[in-house]
Amino acid sequence: MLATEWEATSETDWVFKLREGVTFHDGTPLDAEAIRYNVERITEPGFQDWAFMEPVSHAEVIDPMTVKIVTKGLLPTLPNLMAQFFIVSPTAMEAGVEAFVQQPIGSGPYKFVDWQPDDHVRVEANADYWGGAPAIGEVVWRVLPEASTRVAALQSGEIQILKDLPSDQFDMINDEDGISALEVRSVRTPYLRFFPDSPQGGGEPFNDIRVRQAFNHAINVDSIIENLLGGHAERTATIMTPDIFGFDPEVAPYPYDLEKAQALMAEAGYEDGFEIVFDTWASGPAPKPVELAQAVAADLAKINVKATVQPVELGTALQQQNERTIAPFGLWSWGGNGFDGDGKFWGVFHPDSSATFLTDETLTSMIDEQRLSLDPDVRAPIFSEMQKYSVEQAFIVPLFAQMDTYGSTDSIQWTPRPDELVLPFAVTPAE
Amino acid sequence: MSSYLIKRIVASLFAIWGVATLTFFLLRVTADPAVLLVGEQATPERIAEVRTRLGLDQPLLVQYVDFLKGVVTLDFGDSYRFNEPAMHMVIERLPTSLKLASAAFLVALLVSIPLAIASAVWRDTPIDYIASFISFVGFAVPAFWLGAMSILLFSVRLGWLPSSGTGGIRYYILPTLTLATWPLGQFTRLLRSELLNVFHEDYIRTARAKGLREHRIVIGHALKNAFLPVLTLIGISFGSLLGGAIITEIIFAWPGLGRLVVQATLNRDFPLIESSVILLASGFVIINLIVDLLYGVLDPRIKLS
Repeated sequence: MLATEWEATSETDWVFKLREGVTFHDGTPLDAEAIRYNVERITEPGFQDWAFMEPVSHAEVIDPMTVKIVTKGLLPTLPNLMAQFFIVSPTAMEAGVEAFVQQPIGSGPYKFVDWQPDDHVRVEANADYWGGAPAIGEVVWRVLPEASTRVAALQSGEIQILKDLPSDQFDMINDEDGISALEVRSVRTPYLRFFPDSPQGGGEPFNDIRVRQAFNHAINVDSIIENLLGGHAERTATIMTPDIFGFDPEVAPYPYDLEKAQALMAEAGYEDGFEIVFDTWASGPAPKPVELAQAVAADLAKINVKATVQPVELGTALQQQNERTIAPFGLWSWGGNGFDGDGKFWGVFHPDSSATFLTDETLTSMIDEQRLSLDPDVRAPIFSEMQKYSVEQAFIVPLFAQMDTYGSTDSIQWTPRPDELVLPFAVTPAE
Repeated sequence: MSSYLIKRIVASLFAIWGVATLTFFLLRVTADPAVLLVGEQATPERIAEVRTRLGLDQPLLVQYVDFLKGVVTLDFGDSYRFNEPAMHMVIERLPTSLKLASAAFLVALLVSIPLAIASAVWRDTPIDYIASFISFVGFAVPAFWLGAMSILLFSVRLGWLPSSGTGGIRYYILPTLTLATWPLGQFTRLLRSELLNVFHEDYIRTARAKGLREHRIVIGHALKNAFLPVLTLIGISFGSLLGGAIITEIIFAWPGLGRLVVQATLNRDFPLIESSVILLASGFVIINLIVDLLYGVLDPRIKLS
């Protein structure tokens, strides 16, 4: 890390001490002024449209190696946010953005060599890296959009690491000599959401907690994981995964129980079921979204709910979400950011989030409450409470933490990370 | 001749305008690019801000007039996602696609012409059967299957050729063959049946009666006349090879125009889509115009008036 220590000095001020002697690839020192410049650049209106640095106000230089970052409000997740913040050489930026894009200069273990859009990016080892020179001298990132081509390239030895291995080829890759399949639990959790007020109609039953609980009991998530995904997923009780701050291992998912589901439906007055439209992705963030939705619809038929699966292309789905015209029932997925429960719960349950379609005052106030403290010991119990409460109220049908799958040749040693990053610095030649 | 030319050019411009207008309106009913740009967690104010910056908050008619100006000047502004001039990005990709399309086109022509001639001359013989089989296979086998299978055989099993990417001549072989099979099948079928028709014409009988050698009859008389309908097909095929190589480009990770268009469509990157569609449509129209004009050159009986 470029910061050696940091602390929050007030509700909005964070002071970071920087590592001594670090330079960018062009020799510019990485000091407090460089950080201030970068924060200013990224918080300028219109800099980029991606909104993740929006809560940051500005930065101030305290001394050459100490910088203060000021947030607009209380922001317990700032240190995590800083890990996603790319720091570039201010000297190199003087030539303008166009020139910089052709020859980007950072401070990391690899230096930029060349880039051909949609084909490859080539980087070479930075021998002067403060953490020591990397073991792999040159790394080429190749864009291979077709999964079977990626697998072929791994089999023929053209590539050494493959991202997004199709789960049905997992065992085949492991059976071959010289290559292996790897997987790691992702923070991304697909789930099914209810939208009682859907303008498409038919969502009213979801105002009844018993119907939502019946759905949770009726959908056989374990069977979907086993039979559809070949076991390459991990059941979750909520949208949290064990890798996220605030996760409570005590909270258990709904067991599959068809009789109980039928009883709950009868109790709610829906013994004969009802009809709904069920949105899913045509392809996209969740594994096998159409097949998954069909499996869910088959389970729902057993409680007399006739769900019509409607595959939607991702861009259209996002627009419908924003215009709040989605179907009363649908598949969605949430990764959050910064490995913190805040990103998860805020994104899926807070009324201010565009992805929230069923709000609850108690849950909202808990989400707001944990944001008022920077103390992990204060926040963790609130998250625990939120997980218990969200399961009890069945606000959604949580499905699983998906697995990120990779292929790798046995000529290298490498362990995949849960955040979807492949860092060549962590790769070493096998003994 | 010149009034015909002017008429044809005006008709071509109309065709381009039609494609452009259709593209414009179809894009604007599909989705909002601003939502895709800012990401899920963005506030409504942020989305509104981006829409204003991209000019998407303007009335549709104002946007359309702006767009027509773009059609005339061939400048649709910067790509939403890459903040680079969109037309420039498209033109940068064009040679990569053009190289692959030309290679495939050349292979298709060089193989299909002799194949069709052999097949027509030695009709109902084993040579004809083999040629017909090849052209049927070319017709029937989809590119995604052929591409994947050729990678499995030549890259994974035999290790002779790279599976994907760009570079020297070795990188061209598999994608070229994959892309060439369909036009190859088409050209062979059409040319063979045209040749068979022509063989029954009086002038062929006259040529035979004169005692001309068989190869002079076929090449000098039959082929020249049978080639006219094929020329139209060739014109259309080249246009679709350029824009329709998408599947081949995806399978072989070929960084061409097709992939750029697919990505741009998924991202709702309007300027990028508009630039590529206009460029491809213009190319298509121009090639067909050239083919029409070539008719007159090849067959003096066709008066271009």
